[in-house]
Amino acid sequence: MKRAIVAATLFLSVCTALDAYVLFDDPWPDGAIVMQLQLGSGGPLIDGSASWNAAAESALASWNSHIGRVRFLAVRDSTAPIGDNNHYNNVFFSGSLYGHSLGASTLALTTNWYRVSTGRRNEADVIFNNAFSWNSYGGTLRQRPDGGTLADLHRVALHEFGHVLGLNHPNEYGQSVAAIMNSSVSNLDTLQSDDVTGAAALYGTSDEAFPGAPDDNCASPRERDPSCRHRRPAE
Amino acid sequence: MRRCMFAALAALSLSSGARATTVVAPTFETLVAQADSIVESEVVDTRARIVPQRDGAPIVTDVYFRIEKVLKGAPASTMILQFLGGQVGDVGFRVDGVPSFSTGDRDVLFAITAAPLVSPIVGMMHGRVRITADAATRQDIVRVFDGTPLRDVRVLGSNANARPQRDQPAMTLSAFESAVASEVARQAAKRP
Repeated sequence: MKRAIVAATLFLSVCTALDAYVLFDDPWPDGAIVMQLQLGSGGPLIDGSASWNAAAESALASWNSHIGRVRFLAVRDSTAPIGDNNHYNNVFFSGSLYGHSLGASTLALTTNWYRVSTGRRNEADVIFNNAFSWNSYGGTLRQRPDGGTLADLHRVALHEFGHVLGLNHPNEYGQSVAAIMNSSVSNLDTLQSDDVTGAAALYGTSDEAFPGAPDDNCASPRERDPSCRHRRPAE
Repeated sequence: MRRCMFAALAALSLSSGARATTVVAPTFETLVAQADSIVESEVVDTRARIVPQRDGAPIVTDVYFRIEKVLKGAPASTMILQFLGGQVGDVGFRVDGVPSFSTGDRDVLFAITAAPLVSPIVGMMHGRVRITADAATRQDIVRVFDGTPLRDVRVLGSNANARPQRDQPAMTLSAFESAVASEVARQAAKRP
């Protein structure tokens, strides 16, 4: 605890240099980032989410409330083909990727494809490791009755969707800051100031105009995007 | 200032121990147990290539290592590990969290060579322990993957109650070698 107080004091003393976010240099072009939610049912979950997809969609909405020139668009219960470099942003459970196991320690990972010449990314997939026990809950991290990790899909999704946007791990660059984007966290389950500032550095804040219809981009000129055909009509 | 207060409170909340969001950080014992090869190595080359497969054509990067010392596993003088991700021509493919290597990098690697993995390092990036020369003593010391000096192997993974004092010096490479050797021997003795 003494160390924590020292760390807190240190934070207060360096108030002018708290931004620690780390960005990849290949952001998305302005517009919608269509995420194909393919996690399936599984609810109700501890936090009341009706399904895995609902928990993931909530995480997307958290990011959307802070970013400007791009916006996540969730395709619920998508049937889009799952594969890499196919221009669909798949979100799904699996234990492997291209025949490569995720390993015994990896909860989830994000892949992304980008063009070097344009410096723009064009696809990102998020894979949650089905070797783990998952639920969706807030607050303190929980253990399974047998002592293993009960993985929280919502907070891991927040982290992975941050990667989708183009945020890296600040703590891997020798920085100490509270961030959902740190590769190591404990009980943080919401976006932190550094996460939001990092996303705003890439895409502006939510105050900025989004280049598309504000409510439903699949009903906008972007409806020609083949990804939109998988979206359910609004209920 | 409000952000600072927030960060300070977050620092307090983090003090109870850390765990990876994407990776469950392995303890030292787990690193040793899961690795089928533990080596001191230096990167001599990296080559990215496209690997056509049934479900796509991912880019992988082969990293070529010169082995300086084997701490666990079969003796070898070189090793090639394949990591998912890389850049070929105008196309880049990245798997967040997979470590990247540059020629000349020196590391103690806790590697899994028996099966193809997204990252053949135990715990994605956690099984990469960096070797650097201490500016003051000129001795080789070890750092964890994020560059923080490793002061005690008990700090690795989720053994949060065993945090060493901040004034404890960074572990030397030779001390780390001894710790690995002891743990390898301990685990070997436990096997039936």
